Amino acid sequence: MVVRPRSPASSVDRDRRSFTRRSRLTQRLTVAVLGLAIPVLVVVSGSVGTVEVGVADAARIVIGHLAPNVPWMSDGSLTVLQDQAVWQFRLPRALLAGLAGAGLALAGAIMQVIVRNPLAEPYLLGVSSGAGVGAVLVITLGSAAVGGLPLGAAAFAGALVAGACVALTARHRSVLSPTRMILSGVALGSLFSAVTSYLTLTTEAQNVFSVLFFLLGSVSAASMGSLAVPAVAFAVACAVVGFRTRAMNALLTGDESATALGVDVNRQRGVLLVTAALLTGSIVSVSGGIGFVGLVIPHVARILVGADHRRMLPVAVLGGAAFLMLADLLSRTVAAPAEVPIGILTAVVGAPFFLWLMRRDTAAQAGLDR
Amino acid sequence: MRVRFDHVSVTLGGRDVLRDVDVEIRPGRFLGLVGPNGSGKSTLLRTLYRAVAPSSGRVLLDERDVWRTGRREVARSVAVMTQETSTEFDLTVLDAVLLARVPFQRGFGRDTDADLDLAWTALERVGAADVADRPIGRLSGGQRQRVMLARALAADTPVLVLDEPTNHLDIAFQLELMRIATDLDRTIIAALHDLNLAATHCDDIAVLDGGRLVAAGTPAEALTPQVVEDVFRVAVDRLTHPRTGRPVLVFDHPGREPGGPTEHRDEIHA
Repeated sequence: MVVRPRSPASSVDRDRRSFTRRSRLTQRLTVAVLGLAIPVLVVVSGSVGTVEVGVADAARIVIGHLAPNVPWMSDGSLTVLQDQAVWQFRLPRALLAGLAGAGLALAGAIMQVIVRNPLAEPYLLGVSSGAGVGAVLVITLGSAAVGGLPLGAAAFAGALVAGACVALTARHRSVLSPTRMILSGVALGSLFSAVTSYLTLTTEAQNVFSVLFFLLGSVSAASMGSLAVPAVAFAVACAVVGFRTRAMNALLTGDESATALGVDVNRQRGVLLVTAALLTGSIVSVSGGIGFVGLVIPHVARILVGADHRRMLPVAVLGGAAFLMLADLLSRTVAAPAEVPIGILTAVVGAPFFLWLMRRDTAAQAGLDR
Repeated sequence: MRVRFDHVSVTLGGRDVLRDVDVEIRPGRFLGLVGPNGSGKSTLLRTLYRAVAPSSGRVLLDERDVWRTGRREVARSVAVMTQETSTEFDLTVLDAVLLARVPFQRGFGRDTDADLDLAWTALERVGAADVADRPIGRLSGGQRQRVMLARALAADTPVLVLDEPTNHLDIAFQLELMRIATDLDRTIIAALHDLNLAATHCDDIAVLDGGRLVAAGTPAEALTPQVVEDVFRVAVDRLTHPRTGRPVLVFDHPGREPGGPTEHRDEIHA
């Protein structure tokens, strides 16, 4: 490295300012674009489907339900059928897609920090395979087999049991080591998948479709009520992470240097782990195992705005929401009137896009060359 | 700020890593910690920045016991240049240096102008301001060490801990780093391998061997040929630097006859 003589103060100041401004600008622009895309996607989702509703009418219905005493809701310009289609079916699923995308992206970003590994994703903890066991038990043997729990609750319970098993087996002398977490997640994940496969193979043929639909993930059964649990989990997770963005940055550099920066590594890792597991479990129990989002969206956010969590997390959350809403829109339209499971679409749309992004120079800048 | 290791012992997995180490570093002094690999240098440093708890004894910052003080509060007094940094996820150099401000800030807040100022000043001081926007993973080992040093400087703490800071560094930057450290008006503790580098730059030297403190004092008092021979199991001659007049240690294989080549040497030449 060439040690240059110090530049005159004025030019250094100029460099500093333009440098800081440039990185802030990219981040704000990305957040603004995604922030605008989300309401647009909500309205477009509302207008797409077998019952014909124009984009403007869809927007009017959404606004009409949110604001009191809007004239067009009672003047007969909108039919009851249109109102139902938008408010009871299309909007909940668009919102669930958005919520699941945002939540999985956040959980993925958290998991990648906890185990400090770019291959980590929300399902690493066996959460999705645990949820799979819970859901498949209900589908194949009925609610009575799991003490009368409905499918969603059984899946959530399965997710939590799996997450707890992984965390407990990964703990050694009260330390959660990243490598042990990855390995016990993989091991227990395959154990749970084996149970799911066995149950699926031995059940009647008509159940297999429901099982696959759950495992691949779907937001088609969404209702406003089903949004509540994941919405609360997401809000809590945002609050937990919001106070820890700097600690998460410190964790990126390694346990030793994070400790030296005054971060209680073991405690932060534990808190973040529970947060990610609850968030993932609440989403999976409603929308099934939608793949790809939790792994890839955090990487896309890093490539766009860098690894600092204060800049990267808002982009990942909004990007995850927009991406899944778009995927849901496509899943309803590409093979209409049939529906392609959203989990298949996320991979088909997402993989080529990510591969393209990964090969660009900015990705090398973000450290993907190693 | 005064640092005191008060009869510190550390047992890890049933093994005594440190035994009753008692050292004090007065405010503004630069202590060099030397000893063979595995002698406990890093462990002693780690008891100061709360990574390893002593099994007995205390570590004091002025009158405060660091193990009875909050982590963040200790981190506000002690900045550390650790040996390795993980680069699985690359922060840019500037962001990596700004991590020094973690113990002083909370949550989502933007870096203050004062934080940015400290970070840039530190980067300029170590000669790495021109790579501020590069990801650290793409830097060479030596450049990365500069950035780690900049991070420790940007914390702006009264105490600085350097754990083998000259690893991966070419001789020019080894000297530059020691110059930067000696110019600072802070209490510094550095684990060092190069005895001559330690002797010429540190105010005091502490020698560890097998977890025990075997010598301490000024470089001339602590680094006698006898101590070095016993601790490192090498042959030592003390020469006088022809220009500065300072003592310089030169090393050879143990058991060598003074004044002539060894048989081992002859075999190599033959």
